[in-house]
Amino acid sequence: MSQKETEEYLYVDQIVKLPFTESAGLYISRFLTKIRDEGKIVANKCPKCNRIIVPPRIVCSYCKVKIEDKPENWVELSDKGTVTDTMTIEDREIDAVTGEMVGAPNPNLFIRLDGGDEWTIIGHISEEMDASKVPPGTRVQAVWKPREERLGKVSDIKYFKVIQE
Amino acid sequence: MAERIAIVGVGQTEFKGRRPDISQVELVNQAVRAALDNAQLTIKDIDAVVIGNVELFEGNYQVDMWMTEGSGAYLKSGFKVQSGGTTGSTVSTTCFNLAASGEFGAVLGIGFEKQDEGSSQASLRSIYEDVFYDVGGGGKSAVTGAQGIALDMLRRKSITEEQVAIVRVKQAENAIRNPHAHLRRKLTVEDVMNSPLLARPLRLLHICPTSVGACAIVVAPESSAKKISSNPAWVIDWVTVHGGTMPFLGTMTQAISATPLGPMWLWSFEQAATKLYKRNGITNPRRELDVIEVYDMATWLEIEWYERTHLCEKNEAHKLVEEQATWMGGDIPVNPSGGVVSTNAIGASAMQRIAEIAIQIRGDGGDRQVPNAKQAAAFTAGGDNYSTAVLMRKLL
Repeated sequence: MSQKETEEYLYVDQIVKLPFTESAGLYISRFLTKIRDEGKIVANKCPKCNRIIVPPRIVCSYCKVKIEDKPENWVELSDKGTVTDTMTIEDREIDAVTGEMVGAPNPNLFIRLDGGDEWTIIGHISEEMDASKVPPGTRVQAVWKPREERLGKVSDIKYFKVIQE
Repeated sequence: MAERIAIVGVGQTEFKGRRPDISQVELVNQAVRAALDNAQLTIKDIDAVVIGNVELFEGNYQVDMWMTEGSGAYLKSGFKVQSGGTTGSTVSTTCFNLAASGEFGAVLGIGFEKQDEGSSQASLRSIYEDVFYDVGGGGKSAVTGAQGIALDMLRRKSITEEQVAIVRVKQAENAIRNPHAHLRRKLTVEDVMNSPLLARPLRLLHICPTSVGACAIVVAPESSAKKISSNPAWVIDWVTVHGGTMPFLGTMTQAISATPLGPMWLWSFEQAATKLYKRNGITNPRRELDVIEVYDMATWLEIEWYERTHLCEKNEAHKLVEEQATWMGGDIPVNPSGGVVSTNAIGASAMQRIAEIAIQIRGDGGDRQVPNAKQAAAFTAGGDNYSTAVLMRKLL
């Protein structure tokens, strides 16, 4: 076998696709079907510490107690809330597998929903593209997709828009 | 009664962005040979091999099986360990536990990553259950996680953006002295302040690179450590803490947001540090430790860790920076290696923090040696809330 003067190094393709689906479980399934069918965001409440948890959990991670599936443990939140944090990626990331841009270009918002407590925060995206116009403290409301377009995902909410009250 | 243990050998490959010239197995073998040479042992002296990398970063699972040729694990005890960013430190503490059991004369630990081969993003996407994934974009979580911490530090007036740049320059100065660091370019404050914004206030130069490299350590119980080495780094204590259930099990979007207790995933780190101090009677770590290594995935994290390791009071990290206390000539040098910001082959990174402390304790630091290091600690954290704290001494 002859030895080339400059060795050539190759990478061997190994394409891994990830076609996983995850069982959401009873509580997350209810959370998502409420979003899809009724346009409502539901949370649950720890019977011990009274924390309101969104998305709903079967166990309170503080108290380590089971949150039973009883009507008194479920809480309906408003689709209005207050921004607690605003985050943007100036250069969006490229998925190395698909070559596609990851996530929406919109600023990410963390929103404390009305009807909850100080811990009842969800992450979503902003309609307003200029992050400086949705600083912490801004009042926002969900903009829902029409019922027929909803799939039982958090993206059934298109984004949160700034509201004046 | 557990045996007292020591690190008696440390080996590292060179760390680069791409290594097309070498396979994963060959990479691992280089670190293993370096560690064995450093301990003046052969693979025949090793009784157990623990290996770790981050699942799926190279698209492969079960490295414990197919890495055997390079790791030397054939017909020996051992297994694979994985805990995300802290994989390397979890491999290390697993080796400590095995050695302390007294069942093994010498244990080999290996952490590696070959990030030129795979998609870190594909793995990051699959590490957590998050119903908000389809709006947040899972790939954003690592950067926005650090962003939440940075914003929190600015809000608390813990540090200014310019001071962060000053620390980044210090990190580069240290990396230049470390032959195993990946990024070894001199930087100025202007370079850092003018580097592209990724996620305000995080800039490109604040963030760790993706590196290729491997690290290995040899751990031995007291009975064999004293025969193997006249200069072992005694591992006095180690703590691992999982903070993943607070405040909301698994929900990343809330984990990185501002909560009444600050960004969540820092808590387990502080708990690991304080538990280590308490168990070992350390009341003033800045004075009682001679050098520390921390897992700084962004420059901001090194500074956050000053507070979380109690080198200073909360919101007072800027004072350490003003005094340059954490510089090589300061009273508590942090990351003489240059840290994760300079070198980040993820499965190796957390082990390198521990390996560097062993190097410092043994006086093998060369140009980056902290004079007379007698007691030192390594602290690591990962985005999956798993934190490790390790205390080492020159004398038992």
